[in-house]
Amino acid sequence: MKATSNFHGRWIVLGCIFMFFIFLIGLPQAGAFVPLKGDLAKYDPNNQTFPTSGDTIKIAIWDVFSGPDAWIAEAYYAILGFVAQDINSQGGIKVDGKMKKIQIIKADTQAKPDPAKRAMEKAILEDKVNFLAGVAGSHLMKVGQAVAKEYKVILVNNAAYTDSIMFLPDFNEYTFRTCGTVDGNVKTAAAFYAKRPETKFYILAQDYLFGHACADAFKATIKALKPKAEIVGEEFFPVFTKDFGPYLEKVRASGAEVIFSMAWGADSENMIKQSRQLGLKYSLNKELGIPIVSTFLDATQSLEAIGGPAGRGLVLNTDFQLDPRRPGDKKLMDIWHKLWKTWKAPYNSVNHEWPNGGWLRNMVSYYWLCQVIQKAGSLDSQKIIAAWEGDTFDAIGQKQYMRPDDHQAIADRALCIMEFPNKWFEKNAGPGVPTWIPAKDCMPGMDPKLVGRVAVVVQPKAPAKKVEKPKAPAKK
Amino acid sequence: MSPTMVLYVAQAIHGLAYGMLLFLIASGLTLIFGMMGILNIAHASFAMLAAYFCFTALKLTGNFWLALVIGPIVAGICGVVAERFLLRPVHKQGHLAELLLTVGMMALILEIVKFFWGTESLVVKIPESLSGLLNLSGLIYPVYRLFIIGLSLLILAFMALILFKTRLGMIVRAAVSDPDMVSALGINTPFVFMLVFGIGIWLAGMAGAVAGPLLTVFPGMADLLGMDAFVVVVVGGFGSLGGAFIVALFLGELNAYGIQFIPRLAPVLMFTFMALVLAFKPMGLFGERE
Repeated sequence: MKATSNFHGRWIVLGCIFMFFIFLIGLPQAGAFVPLKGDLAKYDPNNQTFPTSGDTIKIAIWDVFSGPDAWIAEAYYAILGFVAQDINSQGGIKVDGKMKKIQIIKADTQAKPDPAKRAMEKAILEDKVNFLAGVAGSHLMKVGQAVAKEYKVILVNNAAYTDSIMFLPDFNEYTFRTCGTVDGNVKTAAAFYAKRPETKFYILAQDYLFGHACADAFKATIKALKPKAEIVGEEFFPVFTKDFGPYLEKVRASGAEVIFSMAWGADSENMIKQSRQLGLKYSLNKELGIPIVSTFLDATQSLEAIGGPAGRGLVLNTDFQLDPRRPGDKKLMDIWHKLWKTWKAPYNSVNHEWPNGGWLRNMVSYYWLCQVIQKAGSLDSQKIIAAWEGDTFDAIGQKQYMRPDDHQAIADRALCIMEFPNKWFEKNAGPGVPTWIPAKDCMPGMDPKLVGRVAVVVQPKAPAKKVEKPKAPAKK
Repeated sequence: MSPTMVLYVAQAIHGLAYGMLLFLIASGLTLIFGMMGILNIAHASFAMLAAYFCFTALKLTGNFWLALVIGPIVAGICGVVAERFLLRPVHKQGHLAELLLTVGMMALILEIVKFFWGTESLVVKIPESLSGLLNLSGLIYPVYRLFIIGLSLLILAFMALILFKTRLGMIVRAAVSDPDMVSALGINTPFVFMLVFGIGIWLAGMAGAVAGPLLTVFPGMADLLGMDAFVVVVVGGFGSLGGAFIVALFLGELNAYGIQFIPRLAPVLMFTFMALVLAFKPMGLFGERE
């Protein structure tokens, strides 16, 4: 009887020791959020519930909250709200040993450099934000980068694509770019067409820096990858062109098989719509309209404006694309779409039906930032920089890697041929199965002067990464 | 036709279609200026408003033709109301006050559009009967653009008939020439002004409604249409309907052939031409009134 009691007692003690070890193993994970594990059933973009005061992690959406494009920034605000709801419902993020929840602040750029600068300074000085995220327009991002450096605040670039803004002298360590770049996107398109039968390309792009940069990069890359490729025409039209008829007539006469455009907004819609009205056909499949390659076909309104069948055959050249074959994406799609059915205007439109394209791009950037805060365990900019450089994010979307030298996200990029009917939308064309171009084939360019920057600046004593400096000439 | 000939003819028809669209919107603007001396900065905004009305009417009735009638008429009624309750009270303050008021109206219309229809692009589909392509000896051309040309010619004929063959037209032409004398003859000039303003807005509305399926119906639509219409009116001469017609056609062709032969310069050709005309004929090619 006594022996049996001792036997039981030993097992109880052993069990306690085992539980104690389990507790110890789990201790470092306490407070660690996991994307999409929170209570998202309570998320409503029209009634966000993040804290508006107290000891919080303040993230500002620095974008255009006024004028006709305000709905885009409002959508970003809603997406950060989704991320905040997910993380806050899991208790928040552990910072300096204390769990803190996410608070969101709006900073209206008005799409102009001066107001953008003022809005950013107000967010930093008055609202005391810890982080800022934005912005559509490389000219605005350039301004933002300078302000971020001046106040030593982390700025997340999730929408400005011009390569050179992350080159010296504009580059500084306080900015991280989580979106793609012109160079990377164009390389993706070129790599896609290098393996396809089309050989005749017509460049029809907007007449400003971005359009010219896309055209130059495409010409150079497609020629290198596919010597048979022929640029049968190259035109640049003013932003907000009304009548594309004369341009498209030249495209028809040239015998082009593909239009490489990268136009956005009303230009994208009008060009596609008018090309279909004029009956421009894809010479390799006369049932389809001529393929037009653009990054901005993920704006569902463009596809809705042209109508479902007219969207067939368009080519979405995107940096972020949901792929249901990935478990994280499938989970996000299911959660989001179920919630979407309960939302009220303006979030009940097709623009918000799926968290794809630009929405996914921003969501990844917000989750990644929060993951980095968690990793750093601090809001201190230097600790965030150290945590983010070389970090990876793989919860939703394609796997991302933060190149430490120039703070540029590196990832596989997708191209999708638009289909109708499709599983995404009832009335619009939607992306078909993505063709993924490996990161090595669409690697964004980097300023050579930044190569090895981290080795010199952050880890000067690390012998393995030490970069030899040229010797200074001897003084006479 | 040879492929080169097909290309040139197609460009000519594109120029004609765009020119006709320009004429539709510019005719109302020049009519209002000619009669009332008001440079209506909000003119293109009314065209945009008509496109939105057209969208709503199409959504409610499902009938494009009905929507094409309703949209411009409702916009015209809005124009009449704006003239009666906004412009007329400030008429005594002079043209500068009226000009500033139309700037305010432009901003107001933009906000109204955003409030009621939102900021996203809206779809106005071409009806089945106008959505095909015509093959004319190798020239493939969309029926809808030919419809724009035909409709504009019809409206031009209608306007000419009203202006030159009716008593109302006689009064309008007289008022353009000397409004004070017309008033002294016992004509209710304020009523005629209101009517002309309404008709001018209706014309803009027709342009907005037919442009809906061709362009994008969104809050920036007024900016797309407005500038070119002002160039037409300035070059044609303020108040000259015939001048607006000829210049609109010329600028349409200049745009199409400019893109064909000198694409890099095409966007500035219209403005270069305007600068040249103003340098040598400040009142415009067919203008009679300062």
